[in-house]
Amino acid sequence: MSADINARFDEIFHDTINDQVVVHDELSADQVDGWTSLTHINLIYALEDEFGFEFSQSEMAGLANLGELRALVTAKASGELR
Amino acid sequence: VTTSLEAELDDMRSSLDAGLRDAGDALLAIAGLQARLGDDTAALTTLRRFVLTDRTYRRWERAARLCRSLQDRGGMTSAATRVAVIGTSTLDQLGPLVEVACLAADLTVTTHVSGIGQYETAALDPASGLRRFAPDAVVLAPDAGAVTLPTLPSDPDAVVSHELARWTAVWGAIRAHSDAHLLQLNFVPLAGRPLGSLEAVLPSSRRRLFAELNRQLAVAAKDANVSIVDVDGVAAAYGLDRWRDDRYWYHAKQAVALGALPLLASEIAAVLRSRLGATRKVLVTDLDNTLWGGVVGDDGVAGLELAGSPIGEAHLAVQSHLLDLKARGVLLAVCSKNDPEIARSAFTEREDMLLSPSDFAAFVASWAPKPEGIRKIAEELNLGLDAFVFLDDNPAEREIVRQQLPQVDVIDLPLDASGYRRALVDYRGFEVADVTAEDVARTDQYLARAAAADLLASATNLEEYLRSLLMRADVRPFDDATLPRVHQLIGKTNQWNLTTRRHTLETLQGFATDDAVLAVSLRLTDRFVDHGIVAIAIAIARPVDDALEIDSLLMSCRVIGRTVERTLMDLLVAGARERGLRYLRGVYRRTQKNGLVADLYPEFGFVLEHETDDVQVWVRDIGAVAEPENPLIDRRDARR
Repeated sequence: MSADINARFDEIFHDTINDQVVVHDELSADQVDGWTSLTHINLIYALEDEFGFEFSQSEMAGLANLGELRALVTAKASGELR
Repeated sequence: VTTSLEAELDDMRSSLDAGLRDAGDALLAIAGLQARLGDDTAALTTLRRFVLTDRTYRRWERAARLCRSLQDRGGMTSAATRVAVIGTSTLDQLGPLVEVACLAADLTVTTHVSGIGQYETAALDPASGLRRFAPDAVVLAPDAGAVTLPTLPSDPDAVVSHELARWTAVWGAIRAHSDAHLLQLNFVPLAGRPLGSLEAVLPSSRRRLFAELNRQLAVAAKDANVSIVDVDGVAAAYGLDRWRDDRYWYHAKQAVALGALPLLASEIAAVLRSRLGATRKVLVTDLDNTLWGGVVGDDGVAGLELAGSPIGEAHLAVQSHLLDLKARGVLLAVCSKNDPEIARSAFTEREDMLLSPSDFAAFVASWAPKPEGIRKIAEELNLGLDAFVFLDDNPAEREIVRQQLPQVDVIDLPLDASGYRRALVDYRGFEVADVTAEDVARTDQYLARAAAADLLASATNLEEYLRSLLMRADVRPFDDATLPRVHQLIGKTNQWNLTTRRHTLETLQGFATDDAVLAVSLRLTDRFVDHGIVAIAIAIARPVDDALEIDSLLMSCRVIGRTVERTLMDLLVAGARERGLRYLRGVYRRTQKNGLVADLYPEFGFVLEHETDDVQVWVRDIGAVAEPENPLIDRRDARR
């Protein structure tokens, strides 16, 4: 289940932000070419669309790195967080 | 690597054909593979089909990136129409989507976006990105949040006209430094009904104020030659509750939900297309199971499903929409695999048939492949295949037309006939900027051409035939009544057009009042039909060179072969003589489409003065003595 979520997460990251970068949890926006506030919105939208949940306003704004985002997505997508 | 990409492409194609994958998903993947294989033309054709098929933001966003890289790689950006989008919210995602949407609108477009906070400054500041971008078209896209209508005002009319003035002032600011076409999005009210049903009742309610604002905006836009993009209507159809997602508004000032952006981009592309005159002209339709239920060759005329049966009524709805299109000037043609007699008998023998054979400008019923039939119709009507749209219930026929005639737009129909009318209505290629009297009359002209062709068969030579038509040309200086049609012809005539200068309405109005300029329209009538305004001549006096110089000279292809060009030349000579000028100077600006008139000037005794790669300048000494004028067309000049 969470392996599947991880794979879909990575694919969406590649589709919306940068398809060259090797994904790891410490990545933050300033290290990735193409991860701007604009493409971040595309990423947020794609994740919501893919997994069928909604981020709250504070979740949208408060993510420091890819690992945090992945953990949040996994929790929300597997129903641990609503 | 290439072979594995090709194998992947084959796989993807078969899963598309077999319906194993979502069509939009498969088409986007195919376009990507074609691009990686270096077949950019095929990739763009596939993207175009994708745009007509898919509506999801995530795929459109990827399609837009692919489109941009293909256009950059192909060097298409330099020749593209430059479209600026300015607004009051975040519009960065919309720009690229408009570019990809324009693929389906027969336009190559590059965009520039000025979003939040730059609405007025972009228009007014000489150093703004908008000014430096030098747009061909500007799309004004404010959002409801920027509207400052008060709550329940005591004088709703006054606050609406005050608000309106704020937005129309921007038109003037842009016009002051730019000839760009202007497109204005109208206003979408915020979702939610604070007053409940009173929203519909009180003239001062939010809903009524927005409705009134949009109404007045449309009136003002018409006067100012600004095209309205009816985003209010699009949002209503999409669902106002979903049109905006407040989380995205507060977080990133997205006034339109990302999921709705493909629809908005398509609407902007459709209006741009109509504004720039890239409208398609002919709908070629299948008969069996498209215009009626059943197969006439098998079920017989009496066995066809039409009025009174549920399926028949769905097909009649298609017929009814075709009649609407015809009334708007779209030409209808039949391309059917049938025996021609039997196919026609269905129209004449069934009283519940809405269409009749005379509604069709061409009627091809045979057993030949459909691409062949469509080619034949194109020749008969003397129109390019890129003016054609194809309607057929059979996916196999759609596919063969798509493959063999990629210039033709193919409308995808759902499996069930109940969805046919809607698919047809949702196709946007026939939209025009305005509906003029000539549009409504045009279909009748093509039908009369068929009658004239019969006369041709009985006349013994061409001159006798042309004389027998009793043609008359009414030549009139540009005026308010003719300018809309003149502007339309200037915008869309490609073939019989010496200079292809796409003047704006403002420029044309300027010509109309300038005595140094000969600016006339020519209306052709004959014993069968009024062709309407079909030709335009604009020429400017150059006293220093003792010459009248042709700025624009063009004619609708509908009347080629009627000797109108002789009459045009006669009136240019007369115009020069009236102004005491000795020479007529002709300019030919070569385009990909106007090879037809490459030899026009030498045919009329002009001598080449000089030429560069794409421009030739020709000169003719008109002499002191008037030569005989075209005897085949009776010319009547109206004076300004």
